[in-house]
Order: sequence, then C-alpha cells, then structure tokens
Amino acid sequence: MKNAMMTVADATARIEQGATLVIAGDEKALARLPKGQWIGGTAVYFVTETGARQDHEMVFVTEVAEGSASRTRFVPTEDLSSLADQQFENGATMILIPAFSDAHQRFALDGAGYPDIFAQPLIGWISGVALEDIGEVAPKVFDGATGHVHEDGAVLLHVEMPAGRVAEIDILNLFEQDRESPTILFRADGFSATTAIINGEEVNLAKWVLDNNINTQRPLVANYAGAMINVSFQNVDASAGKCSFFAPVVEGVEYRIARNPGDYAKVFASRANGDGANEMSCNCILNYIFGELEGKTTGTFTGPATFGEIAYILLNQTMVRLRDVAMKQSNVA
Amino acid sequence: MSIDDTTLQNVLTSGSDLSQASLATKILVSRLRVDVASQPADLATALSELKSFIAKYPFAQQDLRAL
Repeated sequence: MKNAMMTVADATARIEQGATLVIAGDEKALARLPKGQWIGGTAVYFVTETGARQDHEMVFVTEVAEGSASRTRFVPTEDLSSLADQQFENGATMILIPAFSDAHQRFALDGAGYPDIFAQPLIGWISGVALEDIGEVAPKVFDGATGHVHEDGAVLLHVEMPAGRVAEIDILNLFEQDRESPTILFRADGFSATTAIINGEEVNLAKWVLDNNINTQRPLVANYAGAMINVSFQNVDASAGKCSFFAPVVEGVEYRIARNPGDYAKVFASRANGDGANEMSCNCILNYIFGELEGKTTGTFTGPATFGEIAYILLNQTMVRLRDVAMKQSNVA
Repeated sequence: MSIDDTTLQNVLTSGSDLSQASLATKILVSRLRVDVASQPADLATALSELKSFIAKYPFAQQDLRAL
C-alpha cells in the first residue's frame, strides 16, 4: 500500500490505469472522479507529510498493491451483518460509513457480533464534513465501481493479499486510563447516558462531569485485555442531565477518564513506529482538533482525520493502521 | 495441540492483559469477560464461543497458546 495527497486529475489517472484505491476528499472532489475500482468517503481534514491541514481540492489516496484482486461492494444498513461475505480467503476489508447515519449507529452497536467479523482485518473510517457544515451537509460514501453516492450504508473494498503476504491491523492510542480516575460503568449500551455507576455509586453523569471539572477533550478509556479502547464525549447537556458520545459505551465495561497524553503531535510521532508511507491509516478528527495538529507533522503516518475509526469495531481518538507483511512474520488477524 | 478448558476459563474470568494477542482476540475476549462477569452462569456458553473462535481462526489459537 502507498499513500499520497494528490489532485483530482492525478487520482483520475490512477483510476483509469486500473489502480485499486481508497480515497478521502471533499464531496465535490470525489464527485469528479470517474468510475473504477475505488471506494471513497467525504473528509476535508488530513494529516499529510507536510503537515495537517484542511483541503477541499486535493484528495487523499491509498493505493492497494498492484496485482491484488479486489471487489467493491455497497452494503445497505439492514444487511451490515453480511459485511464479511465475499471476503477473499487471504485478504482484508476496507469499510467506509457516513457519520450520523443509521449504519454508523448500527455498526457501532452491533458490529462486534456480526458473523465472521474477526475472520480477517477490517479497517476503515467514518466519513465526515467540515465542522461548520455539521447538520447542514450529510457525510457521504462513494462506490467508485457503480458511481453511486450514499448517505447511509457502507461501502466495502475486499482485497486479496499477494501470495506470501498477510494483512496485519493495529491501533495506536495515545490515551491510557488515569489510574486516579474513578471507575465508570454503564447500565446499558448506547451513544448517550444519563446515569453512570461511578466508584460503585449511581449518579447523574452530566452533573458529575461538570461538578468535577472533567476535561471532556479526553475520552473514557476501557482496557480490552490490553488494548485501550476510547469513547469520546460529544456533548454534556447539564439541563437535560445527559452525556452523548461519539461511540457507544458498553454495559459492564469498566471505563476511566484518560490521563493527559502530553503534546499530541510530539508523542504521536515518537510512538508511531514503522513505515507509515506503506500502510493504510487514518486518525481522528478529535485528535486533529484537540491535539492542535493543524500545520504540524506527525511522522510518516498520513491519512484523513475522520469522524470515527474502524478496526473491527468503532473507535474514537485512535489511529488505525493496516500493513501487509510476510506471512511467516505475522501472528495476528 | 489444543488449549485446555481450565486455561480458557482462566482467560475468561481474569482481568489479565493479553499483551501479545491480536486485536481481534482482545476484543472478543473482552466481550466474553463482560458477559461472564454479569452472568457467571454463562461461563460455559462463553467458553464454547471462545473455543469455536479458536477452532475457526488459527491466529486466535496462536494468541492463546502463548499464554
């Protein structure tokens, strides 16, 4: 895989040359691309080699290795549980879902239970819009093979790995649990909550957040057997006594508030090991904003800043990455 | 070589990190741990699901054999 920020003309040329691509860009830019073997999603914030920036003209292109078999597919929301169908025997699947759509909700809540969801790496992101356009313009995904544009559902790119190679997925999350934070549990799964069980006592979560001056730029963090999984605050509504989140909290999972990761750009660059130029990756729009990444470089890992990241499940404030490695070196899905 | 049930039950009832395991295994084990913690009587069901996962995916067997 290789990545590049490029003009629509250059992306058009690669499509017409038969390349298999995942493309992030402004809706108007994506709409100018010809049909071909690509999927796309709306995004206007990017982490690039020359610094993070907002861009409405150029598109960010991840190109799958030449010679790899692939197929694109649109899956309506009601059929999301079939997303592992049509995978190649040794492959990976890229998935793009529009933010705020039913598919976004359903995937987040149900995805971990879909048949064969863990059979091979599933990586992708939630498409977005410029922050000032939220509520005005719907995020979209594009099926390049058909030319269709969707505000709901998911577009998939199933890719077969070259002989002797295997796809390897991983995440980079700079947030860790603050061990001085109380434990936080929820009684139900959901993108919002009125109450939470904090250190064993059920309280109104919004009131607790405000009374304790909790910095909601830092996510709730759960420890999934060693993988730190974030849920980011979207809003704290004191009058309604409710908190909303960018990913669902899960009943029974123990969360803590994240500790301060420090200077995001510097810490990210120091911890993002590997050759990001040859991996598919994306990072979160919240890291772009709260980490004040605009204009800063973060090493070789580039890609869109998205409204949610997918590594099997929906993630927040996390970089996801996919690389292909020699088969004997890999011990992961 | 299969992984014995006692080892897998310990995986499901402990809170230990599976540091060397794949992300897929970590996510699945975490979900099963939550199920077992909330309904201890469901341990056998969770164990069965974990064994099916291991049987289906060689990477999972490799993950858990390393324990």
